[in-house]
Amino acid sequence: MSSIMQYNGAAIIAMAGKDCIAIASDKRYGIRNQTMGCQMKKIFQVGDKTFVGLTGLATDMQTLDQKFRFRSNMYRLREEREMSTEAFANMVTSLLYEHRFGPYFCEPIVAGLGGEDGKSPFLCGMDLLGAQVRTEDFMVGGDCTEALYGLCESMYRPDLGPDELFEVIAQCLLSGVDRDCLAGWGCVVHVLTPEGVTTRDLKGRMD
Amino acid sequence: MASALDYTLPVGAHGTGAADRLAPQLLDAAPMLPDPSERCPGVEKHVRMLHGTTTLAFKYQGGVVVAVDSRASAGAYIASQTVKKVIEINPFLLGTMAGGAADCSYWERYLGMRCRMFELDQKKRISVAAASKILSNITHSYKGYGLSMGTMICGWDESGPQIYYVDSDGDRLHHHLFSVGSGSTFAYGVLDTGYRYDLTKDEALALAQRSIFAATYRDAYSGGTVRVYHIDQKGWQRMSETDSMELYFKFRQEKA
Amino acid sequence: MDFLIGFTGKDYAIIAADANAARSIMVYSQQLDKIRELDSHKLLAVGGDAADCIQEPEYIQKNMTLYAMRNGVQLTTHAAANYIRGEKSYNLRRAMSQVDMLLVGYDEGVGPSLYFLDYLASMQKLDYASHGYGGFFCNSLLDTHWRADLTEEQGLELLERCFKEVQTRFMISMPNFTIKVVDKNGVRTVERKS
Repeated sequence: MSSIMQYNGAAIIAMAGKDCIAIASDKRYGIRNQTMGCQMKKIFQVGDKTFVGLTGLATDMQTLDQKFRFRSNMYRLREEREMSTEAFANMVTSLLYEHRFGPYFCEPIVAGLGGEDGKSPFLCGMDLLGAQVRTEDFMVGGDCTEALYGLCESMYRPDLGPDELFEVIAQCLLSGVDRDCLAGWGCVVHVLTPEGVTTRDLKGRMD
Repeated sequence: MASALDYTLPVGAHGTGAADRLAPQLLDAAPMLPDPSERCPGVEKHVRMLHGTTTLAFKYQGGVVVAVDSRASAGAYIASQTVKKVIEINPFLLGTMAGGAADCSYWERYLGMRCRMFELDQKKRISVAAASKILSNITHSYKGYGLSMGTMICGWDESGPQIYYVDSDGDRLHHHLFSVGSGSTFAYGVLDTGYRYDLTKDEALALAQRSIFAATYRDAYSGGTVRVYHIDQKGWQRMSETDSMELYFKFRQEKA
Repeated sequence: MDFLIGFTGKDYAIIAADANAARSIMVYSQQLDKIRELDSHKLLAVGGDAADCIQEPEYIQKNMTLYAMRNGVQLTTHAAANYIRGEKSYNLRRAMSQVDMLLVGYDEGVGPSLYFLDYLASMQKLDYASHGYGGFFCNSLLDTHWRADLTEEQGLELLERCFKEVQTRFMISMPNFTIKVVDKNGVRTVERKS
């Protein structure tokens, strides 16, 4: 299994702050050991307050993004409201489990703001069959998760503001991918607050 | 992470019955060592490999240029970004490392000893041809035992600059230009296009650096620092050690 | 064993492929054209399983023609790339075809563009790309020498460098290559200077 999950390479972190979340990914598009491009989109915004980050096989990342967009757009048209982040995560879970015996080789990370007040962080990671792991602090995915977990465990503090959260997630990801052959070549960070989204591209090591 | 302590030796060399398999294998089971004629099973997991590597060497009018990257990887994990992949055998001989780190460093150090013995015995420096032949004789005699090395023995002797490629299959080749490792194809792309025998020293050093850099960019398993060495009649000299990140932004600026 | 290479330049995109038709240990022909003209302004280079390399692009081309006849407009290069990716990903877990592709096209208001698709149906828009073992030798060459403002003459020169590299370093003999260019006037084949 590890070989198909590492065919293209990816690294993603999502973190919760105070009334905000951040999600970051690397930008490498590779085929095994060969880097083909460094502008790959691995984090997708679905609606105003939800992001989904995908790691795994590139083709399934792109297919899943399209399926997610289709389903959340249909939901918006039918219900005349946005899908909540939690509902979206559950939709992702059921979509993945529909393919229990021929799965999509992707491990999604869902991050967004929700709750009663519309600004409580929601973080959730999944395996490729859709089993959810919900966390309060951070979630990592991709092929250098050991390194990313170590970094996040030591760098993360609860209740950070958007600027500090950006700093922490950026440092964690940049240092994490420096220990991984298959991810890196630049990073992108999205920070979501009730006011909106800020997206920043980071300069990373290109080897 | 798999620990070396988790490795369980095959137990119960003599009995194969169901009772043996069900009995607690604690007290009287005699450990059976792996058959020495076979490769030790699972040993790869515990050995640091430099499978992901880019090294190159070429001859030009001013001598020999040797350049290497500095990454050591274990699977997709980067074990180190600061490996020294050029082994300084003696002041006139350099060896490069690709494959098993321990195999390369041990045998090239042993080669250094053999070269020194030759000098003391014959009262003259060993030729690159002879030195590389010693190494290839060794690797050939260990063929099938699982050594892993792809190395270039570079130096300057009575006949001038020389490069020999020696690998763990026992192969030994003499040529003016080699690149070895997972990123070698990428290095060759740049190297072949820019190579001429009459390059100036500066051009040659820049070409070597550019070629290794190209490999660090494209090959996931190569990276870190680009180290460049130069060999002329006075022996080898360390020319530069540059972070590939620095080179990326330098070259990008040159393009813009 | 096919080798495809392509890049965008100043107001044009160029694409090339080796001309070998090989099977097992022999070569049937060294004059095979692996670059299909999808419409007046789009080229698709294919490599991989020989039979799939005929069936799949033909299916795509005919359906794109049908679309143009039904709707009175041609797909843009971006739309064509997404259409091809859609077809390939739909078939991925049904009747998978082993075809790697490079799509180049020229659109009014957009300019030249290149899309890289692998046989698993992942797609990336890139400035320069190659498929096959040849890519291991030529990608670094493109990294070093490609520029966004290459003229057609410079582009052809860069291609020749890549061919030369493949011919020196790659074990399999590739004596002939097909080169095609697309610009605002449409697609055309470029003869190699000998």
